Order: sequence, then structure tokens, then C-alpha cells
Amino acid sequence: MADKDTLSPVEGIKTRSRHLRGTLEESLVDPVTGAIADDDTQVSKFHGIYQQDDRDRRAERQRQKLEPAYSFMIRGRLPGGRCTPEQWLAIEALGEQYASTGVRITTRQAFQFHGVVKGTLKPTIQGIDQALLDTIAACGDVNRNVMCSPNPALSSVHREVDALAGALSAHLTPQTRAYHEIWLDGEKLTDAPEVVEPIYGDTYLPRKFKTGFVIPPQNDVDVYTQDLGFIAIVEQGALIGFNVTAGGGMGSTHGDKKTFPRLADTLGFVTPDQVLDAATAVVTTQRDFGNRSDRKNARLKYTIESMGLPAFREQVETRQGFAFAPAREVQFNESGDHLGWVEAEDGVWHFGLFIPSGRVRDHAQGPQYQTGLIEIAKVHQGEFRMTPNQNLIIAGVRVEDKARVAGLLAAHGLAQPTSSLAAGAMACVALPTCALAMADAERFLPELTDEVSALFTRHGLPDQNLSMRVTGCPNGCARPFVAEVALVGKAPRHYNLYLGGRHNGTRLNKLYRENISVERVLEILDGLIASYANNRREGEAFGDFCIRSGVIAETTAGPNFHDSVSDAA
Amino acid sequence: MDGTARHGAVSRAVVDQFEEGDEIEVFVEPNTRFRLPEHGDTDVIMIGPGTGVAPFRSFVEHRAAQEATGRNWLFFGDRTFSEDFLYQSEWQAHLRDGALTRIDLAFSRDQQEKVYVQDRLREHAAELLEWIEGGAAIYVCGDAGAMAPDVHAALIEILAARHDGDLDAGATDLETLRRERRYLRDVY
Repeated sequence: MADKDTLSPVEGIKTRSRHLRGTLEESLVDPVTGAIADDDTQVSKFHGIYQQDDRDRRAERQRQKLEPAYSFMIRGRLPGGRCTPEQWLAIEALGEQYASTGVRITTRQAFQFHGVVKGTLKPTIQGIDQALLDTIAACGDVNRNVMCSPNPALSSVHREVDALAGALSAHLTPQTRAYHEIWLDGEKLTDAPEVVEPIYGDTYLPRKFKTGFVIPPQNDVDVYTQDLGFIAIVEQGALIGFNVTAGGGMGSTHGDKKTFPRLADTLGFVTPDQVLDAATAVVTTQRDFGNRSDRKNARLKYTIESMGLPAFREQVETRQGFAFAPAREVQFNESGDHLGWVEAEDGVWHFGLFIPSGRVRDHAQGPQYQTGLIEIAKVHQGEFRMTPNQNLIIAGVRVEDKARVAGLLAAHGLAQPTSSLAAGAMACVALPTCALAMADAERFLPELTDEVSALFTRHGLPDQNLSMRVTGCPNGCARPFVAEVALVGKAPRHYNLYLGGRHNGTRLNKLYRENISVERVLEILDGLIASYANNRREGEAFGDFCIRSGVIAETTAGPNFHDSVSDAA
Repeated sequence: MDGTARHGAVSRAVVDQFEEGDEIEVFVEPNTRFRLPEHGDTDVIMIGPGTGVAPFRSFVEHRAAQEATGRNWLFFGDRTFSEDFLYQSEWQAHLRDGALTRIDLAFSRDQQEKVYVQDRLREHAAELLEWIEGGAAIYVCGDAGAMAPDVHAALIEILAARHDGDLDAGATDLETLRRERRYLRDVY
């Protein structure tokens, strides 16, 4: 446990916040600034709210003696990304009214609004509440949105796993009444319970905590990048339990070799009725043993590294009250989404709709995602599922409704992506709203996928697929460190280039070149793709080829992520 | 703005008629009376929506430099908070370091109903009366056409509260303040 004297300042903010109240109520009514108080910017995260400002306008605003153009991001809590068509319409309407850029589907199967001004935070949250949704713990030092594979063909298994994801999400949601008091004008109870947070304690977790349920063979959830993972084990079409994984995490800091991305370890097998206890045991172990002095060393992955896996497993087994059974065999094919029509075992259909970077808007002379989905929502009898790759599944389409949905998709130009590469590529939001971004990601991705697709075509490999991800900074919100090719922002139009991941999310990549221009990235990829075209083995993936041909060394574990990086980098 | 190109009156003239390096004649329109109170412990109420806020920047800076102990209260208004809060970052700094005691804002286009500085004056009538009875000086700067008369009327109402709402008595009080150089205006 950390020495009290050296606790991170954020711990003090959490302690003083009276279970996540802070001075939010006062901040909201302060008319002199569009911002909330500094400490409140940490507290608001637990409410799913992030203070941001328009970075494109910073310099101009400063010259005008105006404060930064503050606005807020609001992120929903949506276990497994599921919502009803009515809820979709409500989210859409709120986005239209209060968010400057509409709805954005995230890399954790949630929806997000950007550009909400302070004065409209309350009405937006109230609108979300009226749709029977909330934004609690979508950000902050807590368990985040629980992910769950959205599109397996095994409907009955999906139902069971999704139910567990929902149950775990509820179980790990903070119990403080702060959210209701501040946003929903909830009554301040005079008899507050003695223990407000039975699982989290008064200062919640040392850092963010990400949980995901995955149904093989698709690793869309990228389960090994999660702090806590549940891999569904299915025998003869029935769910028998889960392999439990722990200690995955993407974030790192440029130039700080004590930080690194890490893939989760497999702890063992549990039955479905053991899931909640196992999860609680992992969460409380992290709560008690995680580093509260150095936030760059606070994720569960570092806790496991410093405790050692056997000691960690022992703690968890003690807390959950049983030993893990031996893990079962698992096979993953790829980490992207299944796009297009998929028929499920019970005769219903799912349509995986590609939405570039999850931005639900109408493109001038292009696909009308916003209008198209509104029209589909009005007639759809099933549900919507936001995917781990920022797309949307129109789920549970009955066979008699399939033609109508297909017609609406076509009428609004909602075609499939231009290439497999574009379909699987992913970028985080980055500029202009994310305060941490060093370079563009979302705004840059279309250009990058066009260029790289063209390179493959030029070298005789049209529509070649590989996993490619771009992030604006090394926090890695778009999970770049498991991709075969990753660009991580360093400066405007300059990126670190990483190679050697595996497209099913089971191997970390490694730094190839540091801080190079976009032009240089494309030059390098041109050369590598040429070599790949000429020298690859039959069916060999690009990431595997890069390692076998000696272009990049293999990263076998998080701690050796920084090792064997070429001097030329 | 609003899809049409707009030009400032003076800035347009400068851009159109002159080039860098030209000499132009500038005249100062003196207003010998629009000055801070003689004593730094006198409270100051500043009503300056839009461009009328200009002199109050130096008022507040001057009082801070002089370490004046009197309190400063600014009423500012304009169209929108996000674009028209003139010198916002300076006012925020003054509030933080105490050079500005209070600020009340009215952004006319930020809500359904129009809100102006005179509405804020009426909202804070009781406290304004307290400041005035404590010797505060009132300064109004800005638009002569609509703002100044509306503010004048609001001040009369506020003073009338001392006389059970008798507006004539309120007007007399305001005239007294004017003669005592405690109600000063620079309107255009």
C-alpha cells in the first residue's frame, strides 16, 4: 500500500470529493467561465463527463483575451453496446440538440457526445436518464464500460454472456448518490449509508479498469488488452464457463521505458455463476495493491508485474473463495468486426454496418449514416449493438424484415467500406477535442487507409487486409499496440511507427521508427509491402512476415516491449 | 457574422484608406469628469456593456496598482458568452486576485428571453442600494441610445426603494448623485 505522504494529488481530490460530489454543483452555475473547477475536472470523469476545449482555436482565443473554447464530452455506460431502437433515437436527438458533432461510437462499445457546453450538461444527462440510460463510471478511476462481443452467430450463448456483462456492469457501478443529486435533482438523503462504496472504498481504484467479455473465435473485444477479461468457453453450442484473463492494458508514455503496453495473463477457468465473485476479487486486489503514488504505474498490469503472477493469483483466489480451474483451449481468428449480413443460429440476421470512426453523420454526397439509422430505428424490431471497432450492428433482424432493412441501407448509401484495410482500421478521436492528442488520428485515418490500400494494390495485392490503428498519443485508446501496423502521434503530422502485432490481438508490436513524417511512414510501408509481396509465404500475415524477415523483433511480453528496438529508430 | 460580412466603423476606414507607415490624425475627446473617485476606499460600480467596458479595464488595473481598498463591481453584457465576453480572461484574473470584487453578466442571445445589464441591476437592487448608501460611485459607459436610458431608469427604481417606490424621489436621489459626481456617464 502506498505511503500516505507520497499519494498522487488525484487521491486527495477523490478523498475530498465526498464520494464524487466535489464542487460540481457550484461549478455548473458559475457564469464567468465555461469550465468547471480544476479539481472537479477529475471528479466529473466518474460521471462520464470530460472537460475539453477546441484546440484548433486555442491560439486565436488567447489573442482575443477569451478563455479556451471549453466544452464537454459525455460518454454513456452501455454494457455490451446494446440499446433499443427507441434509445437510439433518443441518443440521436440529444446529440443533435446538445452535441456539436452528433453521436460518436467509441472503441468500448459506448456512445459519446462532444461539444456540450456547461449550461446544457444537466439537460443532456437528464435526457439520457429519460432514455433509461446513464453515464456513470464511463470514465475515471473505476470499472469502465463493460464490453461484450456483439455479433456472434450463437444467439443463445450471446444472450447469456451479455446478461453476465450487464450484471457485472451493474455490480461494479459506483453506488454513491452523487450522480442523482447533481444531474437528476435527486434528494439528498439525510441517512446516508455508513459504507457508501462496498467494493470501491472511498477513493475508488488507483486508475481506470477495463473489462470485456469475448465469444471466440472473433476477438473483436481485444480481450487481452483488457484489465479483466472473460473468454466464453462453448461446448456443443452451450456456454460452460469462461477463461479469466487479467492485466492487459495499452497505455504508455513516450520515452518512459517503465511504462509499456501489456497483454493479459490467463488465470484459469470459472463457471458462469462464479463470474461476479472472480471479478470482484480482481477489482479489490487492484484496489488494495495498485500504486496510488505514481499514476503512470497504477494500472493492474503494473500491479501484476510488481507482485508477480503467482502472488496475484493467490490474492484473487483467496478473495473469491475458490481456486481457478485449469484454463481451456482458446482460438481467435481476428480482432475486427464481422461486417455485412450474418445469419444467427435461430434464424435471425445481424447486419454489421461500417461507420468510419464511429461518427454518425450524413456525408455530403456520401453515405447518410445519421438519417439512415434514424429511418432504420423507426422500423427495426430488434436492437442495436455498438461494436468494439466503432461500428454498429443492426441486430435481430427477422428474415421477413431483412429486405426492408437492406433497402433502407441502400437508399442512404450505407455501403460497405472501400477496402478490407479500411474496414478493420481504427483511430481514436484525437484532435481537435482531446487534450492529450499530439497528432490527428480520426481526421487522418481516411487518408492513411486510402494511401496504404493503394500501396497494396500497386504491389499486386489488391484488398489485402492487415490490422492498422492510429492514435493521437500513447494512451492507446484505439488499442494500437496489438496492431500489425500502428501509428502513434508525436507531433502534428509526425508519428511513431510500430510493426509486428498479430491481427487476432494476441501479440504486441514494437517500435520501428520514432517521430517520422507521414510521407516517411508511407515510404517505409511502400518498401515493406514490396518486400512482403515478393517474399511472403502462402497465407502469411504481414505482422508475422515483418518478424520472420527480421524487419522487427518480436515483443513476447509487455516488459520487453522496449527491447531490441533498432538503433535506426 | 450570421453569414454576412461585417466591418468595424473605424477599423474599416483604417484598412481601406491607409497603408502601413502612413500618418493619421487622432483626436482625444476629453471627458474630464469620468474619473475614478479621489479616495481609493470608495466603492465603485461600473456598468459597461459592449464596447462600454473599455474604460473599466484601466479603472480596475489602476485601483489594483494603487492598492485601493474600495470594492469594484462590474456589470457587463453583450450578445453571446462564447464569443462576446470582452476581455474575459482578464476579468477572470482580476476576480482571482481580488482586483475585481464582483461581476454580473448579461448575454442577450444565450437564452430565449433577452437579458440585459439593467435586468441584472434590478436583480441585485438590495445589494446595490447598500453599496450606494456606503458611498459608492456609479459609472455608466457605452450606448447612449437604448442602454443608457434603460440603465438610468433601473437606477431610479433601485433608489426609489428607499422611498416606498416613489419614482420621483428616486429620480431626485439620482440627480443628487450626479451633482455629487457619484453618477458619471461616458455614453455615445
